[in-house]
Amino acid sequence: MSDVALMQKHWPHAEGAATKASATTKLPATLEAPATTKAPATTGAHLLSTRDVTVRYDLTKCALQPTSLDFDKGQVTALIGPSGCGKSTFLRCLNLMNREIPRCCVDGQICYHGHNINTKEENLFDLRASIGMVFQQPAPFRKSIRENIIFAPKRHGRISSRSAADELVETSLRQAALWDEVKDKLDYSAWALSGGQQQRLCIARALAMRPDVILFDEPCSALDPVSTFAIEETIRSIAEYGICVVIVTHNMEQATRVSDRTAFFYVGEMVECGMTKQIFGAPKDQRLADYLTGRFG
Amino acid sequence: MTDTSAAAASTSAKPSVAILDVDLDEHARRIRKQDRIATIFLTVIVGFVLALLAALVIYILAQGLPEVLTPGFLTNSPLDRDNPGISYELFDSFYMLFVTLVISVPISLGAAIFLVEYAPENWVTSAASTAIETLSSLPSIVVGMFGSLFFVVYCGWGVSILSGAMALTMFNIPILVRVIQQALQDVPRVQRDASLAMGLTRWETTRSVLLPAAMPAIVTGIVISAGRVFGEAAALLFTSGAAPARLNFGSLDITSLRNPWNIFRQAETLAVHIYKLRMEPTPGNDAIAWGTAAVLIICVLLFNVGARMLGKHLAKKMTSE
Amino acid sequence: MTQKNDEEATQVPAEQSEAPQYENVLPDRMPRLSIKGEGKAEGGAVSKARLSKTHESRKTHKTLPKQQLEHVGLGLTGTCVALVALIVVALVFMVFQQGLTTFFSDGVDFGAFITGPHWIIEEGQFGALPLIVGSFSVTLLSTLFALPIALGSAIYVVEVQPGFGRHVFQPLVELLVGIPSVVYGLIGLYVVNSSMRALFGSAAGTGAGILSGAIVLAVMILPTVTTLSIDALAAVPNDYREGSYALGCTRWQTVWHVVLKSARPSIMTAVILGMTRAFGETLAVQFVIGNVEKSMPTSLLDPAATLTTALTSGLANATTGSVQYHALWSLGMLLLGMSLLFILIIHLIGRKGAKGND
Repeated sequence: MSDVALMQKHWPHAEGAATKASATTKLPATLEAPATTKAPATTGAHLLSTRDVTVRYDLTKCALQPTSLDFDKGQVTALIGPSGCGKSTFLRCLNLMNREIPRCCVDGQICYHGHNINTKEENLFDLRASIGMVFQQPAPFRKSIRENIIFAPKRHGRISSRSAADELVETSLRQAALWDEVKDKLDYSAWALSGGQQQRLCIARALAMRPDVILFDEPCSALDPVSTFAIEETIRSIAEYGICVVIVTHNMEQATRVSDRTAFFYVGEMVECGMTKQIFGAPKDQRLADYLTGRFG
Repeated sequence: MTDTSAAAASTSAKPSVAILDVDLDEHARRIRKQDRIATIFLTVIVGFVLALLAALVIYILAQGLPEVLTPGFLTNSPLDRDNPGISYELFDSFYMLFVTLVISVPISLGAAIFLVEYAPENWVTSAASTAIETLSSLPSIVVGMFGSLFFVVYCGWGVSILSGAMALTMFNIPILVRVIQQALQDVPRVQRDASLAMGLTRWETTRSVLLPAAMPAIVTGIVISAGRVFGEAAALLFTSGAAPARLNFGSLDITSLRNPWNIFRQAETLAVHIYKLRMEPTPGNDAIAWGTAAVLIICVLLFNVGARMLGKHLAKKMTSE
Repeated sequence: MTQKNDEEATQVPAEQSEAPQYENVLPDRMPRLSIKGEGKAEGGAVSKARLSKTHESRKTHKTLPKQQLEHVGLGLTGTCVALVALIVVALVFMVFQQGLTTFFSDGVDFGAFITGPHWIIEEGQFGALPLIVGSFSVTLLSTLFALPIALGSAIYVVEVQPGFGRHVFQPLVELLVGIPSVVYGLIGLYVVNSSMRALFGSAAGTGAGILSGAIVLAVMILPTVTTLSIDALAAVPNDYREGSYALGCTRWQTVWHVVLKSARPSIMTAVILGMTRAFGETLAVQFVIGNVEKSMPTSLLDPAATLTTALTSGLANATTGSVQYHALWSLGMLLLGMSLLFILIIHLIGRKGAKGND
């Protein structure tokens, strides 16, 4: 059995997607407003799809112009652009983390498995159990490595026994390429690990929830090159398991190494997106060309 | 200064060479002398403050320690005719502190968590913050007066440890809420975000992620607030009384007014005892007052130093385990 | 793969066919990862069982639904806040209710209350002016005494010797904050009163008076104002200082013109907080001020009384519900009003300071 097929056994997202769509019919239907009639048909085909998403802080300051992007499973999409141009803001819309910021208003359609999640009735807790996130600073909890990983699954009721917990810990750490380094230190504090190891632990922690989508917000910007390389490898392998990966990075080379598709953001606007090779090889927009050649950074 | 006026005169005539007429060296010397004088002045002030602190503590200990060290001072009851001591007051102080903390810590914790995590940005939150701020700036005698009517009369608890503890709670809550709020806000935001991003509720996040991380600062804050509560007297005069109950440490009946653990009995803490001794000019009271003051200040100093050491120890344990 | 502008309906995403193709897209130096440990427990029974489960039913045992948990948390903590707010409201309400009874049902005139020069409640004279004057003079004087010393120490600790300040001075001063007020009163009684007698002879009487009270209060609020000033000065960004030094200013010039000006709102807040503490202090003052309530003090050495001390002595003797009792609550009302005024001033300073920084 090939590697990819083996991992797909443990990540049954292909089957799981269809059954989840039917199981969640209790969610409200997609928004009436700007629906192009073909939207439900095509958005059902993408795992995560956004239409005209805008973000405003303090109800007035517009941080993100209407943006529409689609993400599919098994695919790595990179969001690039200079600092402060809305990439992280857009990323945080995808798992509704912008709702934690007071007076932040997110408009538009965000369809996950074909259903719009940008509604008031959306169950944030179930949503975030399927869409994971890894942040810029490694943030392991003040607990042991084992505790860090089973922290969330335990509270979602997914762990029934000690052996299930052990198996989950081992699987997640293997997938994050951290198992060999910490397998005899599982009960030691996570704060004793190095920066790169802590970030991989955060990735393992996100993987332990068996999400469909993992969002990375500049995961390597606080790390040294060796750890960066290890994490890039991990990200690629995660995509091979069928997880949709969206990664924000201000390092263009990282985007070329890691991603299949790239979207370029500039001053709150998504300027261009496409296959990575095409974006970097033959950019269509002049602003993107200037960014790539280093006219501005 | 003749230099600057000469400079002013010459600027009108020959602007291009005006700057050469100013004696820069003299100016620099003056400024440097000012700096030196200021530094000396400040050093004197700091020395004065340190000397004052030392003098205060030494004076209290000098006046009070001889009394403290006489046998029986700490263990005799104040009602003992021959050699009155402060045993009842000592017990009452600690018991009152315990009851106060039992009531105020959970309420302050809940209020602080609400203000940090759940509070919506509307008038309710600002009203709550203002209420807490008002409480923190009230004179303690007003709190005591309120307690003497509300807890003692309206609630029907009478002059008791419970009334006193409630008055002290009102006094303590603003301190604790501020400390806990600060401790929770000092936890890096990304810890909270990481937990929320995994689909956990704010409640679980606070309980299992934020509180453990903020624990050293919270514990330090609680112990320091305990020090302040320990020395409070004005709020207690009319709520828990200025006379000690006749305690019977062997009593098994919790409802008896002589049982030391009964919170509905009246009590007299160390600070109140000092006040009462001063108000009653019986000979020999002065010595007892000084002894009590010495005990009080030693306890408060121990609380403060202990808080700091405990905080450091907990923080170290957190990062090195 | 769809793009933003067009080609939406034309290209059908083909995930299955994309998966192996990306190998050609990646640069050659990216090695193909092997999944480690595939022969181990992952292929076991639990994982096979999971294959048939949907995403939704992965829960293996019941937990409290998260929304409910969140409501529980909100309810619990909200109750605590509500309790606190309620008791504050009860306090303010009761103070005003009892305090205003003096004027509305007991027939005491408010103007006479505020300006009357005799406070002899046993005889029904309710002129609180001596008390008001006593409170204000003691507070203002003590702040006057304490401010230069506190500010000077704060400047030394932050600007001149930060290491010494952080490790020695600040912890020691914070110890001073904890000394109970009765102890200050006791020391004041022995030390300050006798000093007054020694300095001013017979003019000082027993040595108790406004000046003694001010000195004791100054020592009491000194630690508070000092620690707050230290925080205020330390909060000034270092860039301000470095900019000033880069222009060639000496340390004192920097402090005077740059640091102090920048920290002015915070220092003013520290001063007001010190004044609040001094104004509300009872027992420390009571020992050294002489407790003469019946007439106006004429000099700094005269024994006097403050609102707080009069309240304390009166409450011990008054019977609940009497006119005297209500008059004491009116004093409490004045005290409450002053505290609220102090808070208001602090808020105004804060708002002006924030505006000044814009």
